[in-house]
Amino acid sequence: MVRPVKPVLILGMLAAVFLALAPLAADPYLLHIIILILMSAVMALSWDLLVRTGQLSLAHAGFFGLGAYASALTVNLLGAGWWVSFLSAALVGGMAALGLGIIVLRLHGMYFAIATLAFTEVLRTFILQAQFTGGAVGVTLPAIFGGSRVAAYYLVLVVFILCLLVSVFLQKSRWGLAFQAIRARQAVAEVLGVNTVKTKLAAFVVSSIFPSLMGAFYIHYVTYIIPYEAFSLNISVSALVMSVFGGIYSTAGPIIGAVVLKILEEYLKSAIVYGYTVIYGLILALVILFMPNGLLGVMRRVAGGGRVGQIFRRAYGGKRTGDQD
Amino acid sequence: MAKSFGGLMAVKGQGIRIEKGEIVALIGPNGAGKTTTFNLISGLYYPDAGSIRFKGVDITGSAPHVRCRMGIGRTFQIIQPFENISVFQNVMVGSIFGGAGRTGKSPADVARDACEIAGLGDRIHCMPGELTAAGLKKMELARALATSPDLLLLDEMMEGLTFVESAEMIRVIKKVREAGVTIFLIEHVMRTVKDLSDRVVVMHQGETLAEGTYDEVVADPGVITAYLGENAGGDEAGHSGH
Repeated sequence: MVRPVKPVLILGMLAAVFLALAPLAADPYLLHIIILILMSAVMALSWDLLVRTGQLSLAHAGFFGLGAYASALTVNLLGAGWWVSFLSAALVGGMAALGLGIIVLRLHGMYFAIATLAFTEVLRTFILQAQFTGGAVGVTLPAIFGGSRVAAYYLVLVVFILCLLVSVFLQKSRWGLAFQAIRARQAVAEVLGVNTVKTKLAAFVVSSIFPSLMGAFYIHYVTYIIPYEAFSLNISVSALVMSVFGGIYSTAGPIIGAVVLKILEEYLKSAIVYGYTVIYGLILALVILFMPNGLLGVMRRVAGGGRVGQIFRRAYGGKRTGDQD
Repeated sequence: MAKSFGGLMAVKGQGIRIEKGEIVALIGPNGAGKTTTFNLISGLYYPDAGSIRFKGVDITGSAPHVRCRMGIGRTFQIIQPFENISVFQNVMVGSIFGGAGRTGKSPADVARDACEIAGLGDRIHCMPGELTAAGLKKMELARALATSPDLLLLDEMMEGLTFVESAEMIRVIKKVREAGVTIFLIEHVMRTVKDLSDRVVVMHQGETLAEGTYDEVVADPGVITAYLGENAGGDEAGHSGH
């Protein structure tokens, strides 16, 4: 019997080699695309971390913008180096998530989603109106690493690997079990001893630090940002869409979704200059309609290990007993 | 009182007290407030007035997970499995987060013991969706047992079970009591109540209507009226509860 782990390992090693050596082979444009893909993967995967507890957030744009501004202002106002500004972005994003989470994580479903959307709008309005942020004009930074795209690539790669490790850890550890229990039946999880408030808060903070880091990276990479771009609802929605497209509640799904959709988007952008978003939206709608478990769900079905039950049974060495009824 | 244990519970001004080692049955017509009482004890609801004490500690404001870790376990009438994980992992949630810390054993051992006591057998590696109604009841019991409770609240464990399955469940519950667990159970089947309980509390419209042994409460005229209606009691005064 083929163990399900093998192909994943081989694919992972191939991907690792590709990612490590990509700057040697890729031209600057292609490297730029790969950087955008890695950024999207971090956004999608970190968004998935929270949805594993059953909470659908639209605050990713808020944390992205917050991280961008926190890091830009740390450089411009305090004269700090890039890595201090990244730490500052992570710290500000994490603290904001803690504060926001304490207030809004009691809400569920669309109420939580709307509260997180409101958070993003409030932040954008604040940044737009405040004096020290540069208002609607935006902020400018010198390019990171003297404009070296290769160095920037390795930086975003490091954040991506960090996000990947966090995601895998959260799945394999007790946290993963707590997430799944809370997502399925919160009241039952509570009665069985799960501290649901603490668990969801931790998930929210971890899930929010990554978009904050991506915001910091983005402003350093493109050197210029305005509030409308930094806090755009598109950022939250695309993280959500990529995760759903690839397959939520998993590590591989959001990454696959980010890779496929980003490539598709870039291709359509060059192939159909005007109105490419219409085609893009159409493909999205069709895929989500006919593949409710995302690309990962289809791949699992094709590989024969489609049902989650079989994977668990194999992983725990149990016999298949479900046939008898 | 060093080792004694009691929960004092107030619902609408009425108090329920359970002593260590007892099996107390909570019965009453639909809507009497039985499950609400369970939700108050397990912490899913907070009382508007009154207090709840467990092992001599006031737990009125404690969160459900805190009460669980103190030793209050419960099952739900409508089984709510974590459908996304295996039966064994369902039980592991209880042992990892609820109980294993107090037993000194590993969570996996605690969960395995709980599954064995509940009689889940080789079905622990199934998904919850593959279990029968009786299997789900066993899983529900195993999850609660995995939290290593001192007080176990069982909400209608016999519902939907066949006669044979009920008999097995009664045996299991007796075994759990022999292990030193105090049991408070909601039950509709009077035969089960008679078989299992040391004491019966009858609730009606949120209040304790009668309390005593099985034979005492079934002979109580107020109880007969509450269950069968005022005419069956043959006495208009039985209506005075309103």
